[in-house]
Amino acid sequence: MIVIVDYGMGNLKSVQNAFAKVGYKTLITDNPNLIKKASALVLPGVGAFRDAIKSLKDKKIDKELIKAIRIGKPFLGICLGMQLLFGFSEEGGLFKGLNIIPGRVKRFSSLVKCPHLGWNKVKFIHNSNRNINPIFEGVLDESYFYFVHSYYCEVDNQKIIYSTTDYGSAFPSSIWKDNLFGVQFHPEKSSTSGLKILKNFGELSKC
Amino acid sequence: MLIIPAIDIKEGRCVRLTEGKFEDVEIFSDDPVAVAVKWANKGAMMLHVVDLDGARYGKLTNSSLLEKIIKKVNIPIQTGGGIRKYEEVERLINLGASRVILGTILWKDKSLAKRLFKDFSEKVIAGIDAREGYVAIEGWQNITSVDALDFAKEMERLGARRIIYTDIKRDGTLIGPNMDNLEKMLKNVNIPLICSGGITSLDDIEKLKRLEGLGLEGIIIGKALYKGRIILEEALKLAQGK
Repeated sequence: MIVIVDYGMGNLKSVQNAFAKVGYKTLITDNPNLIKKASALVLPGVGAFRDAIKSLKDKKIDKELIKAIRIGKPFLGICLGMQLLFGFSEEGGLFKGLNIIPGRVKRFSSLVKCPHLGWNKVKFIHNSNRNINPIFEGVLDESYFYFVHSYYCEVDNQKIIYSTTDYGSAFPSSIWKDNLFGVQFHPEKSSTSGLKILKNFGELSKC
Repeated sequence: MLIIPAIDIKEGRCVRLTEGKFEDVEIFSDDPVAVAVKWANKGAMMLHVVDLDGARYGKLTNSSLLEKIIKKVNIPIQTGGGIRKYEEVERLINLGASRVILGTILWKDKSLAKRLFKDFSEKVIAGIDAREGYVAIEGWQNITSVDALDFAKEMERLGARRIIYTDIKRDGTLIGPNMDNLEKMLKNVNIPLICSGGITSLDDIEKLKRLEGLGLEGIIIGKALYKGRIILEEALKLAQGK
């Protein structure tokens, strides 16, 4: 079962509905025991970094998430859900994240409008040594996805950046390391390309 | 260029009006949620959902349907109609609306308008509906003496990030957009603009596409889609230049 982690904020239903559309049943829960039993995990993205990390800690979900990633369960972080994986965020002060990926979450430069809201191109980083990210299987390079965010991830290990998107300058719009997937855009709001990604992720949950 | 199908809701149904007249109503479906799902499945990248009852009576009326639509479709929704308070904007955004369209409220209370643009920035849109060049408010039932172009410039000054410009006399008429007015508007404001009213054919879309460089970001299509004058897939292909 794919579990959508509920940390008490926002509209997780749209993620659940998008998975349902591509044939995957999901469970929305904040119960650490159910999270432990999940075959794959989705950490969706809504709200402010500080509230989210506090909620994950209060509900004692944070440790389960870290464990799940360590033991190799497919894990998808969406938007804030990806940002939470980093060392810390500058959103609303300076707050520690789950610290699974070295790097930090920064605000866009004041030269661009915030939030970055709308459809934008996702450009794959081309590297002949590199495999295709399984969740992007069948998605064309430079496809459009839907974004809503004012902060972006600055990733220390460039090798895990799978795609970038231009907004003022290029920022990482997706990351990938083994079983760990992060997307800054909202696949659940990104029409057919977004559904493709959720479907691909769903397939990984069966392995 | 974004092609944005319009879903206008009146008394729970998906309808189209002609020139915004409430007595001139055509019902296209009893199930707006199914209509939304249909457009999304055909590849629309955004939907424009209007609460006509809300616009008319100044009070959100069909928000439970809106909520259902937001939960059902996997594309962003912009919505408006009857939003007169700060808290209502906030509520719709929390409900999952990607962008909230403000109309009457902008005309009535400039300091509130400024605050909304500041606090919600890209998440709110100034909806400017014009009849013969003058701003219409309250579900288009009252025409002010404010020039639409001046109003647009004022909204930009107050901090609006985006405008939806509707030509009421063209809306629901299937006679093509008012290109001259639109071009004038585009040349006078520096923020992205979405147009609506009268778009009837692929030719119209082709013409509008040429205004992309002037800042035209999207096209709202209503009746033409429901009457089959425009096939959504073809419009999308054309707009994306494929």
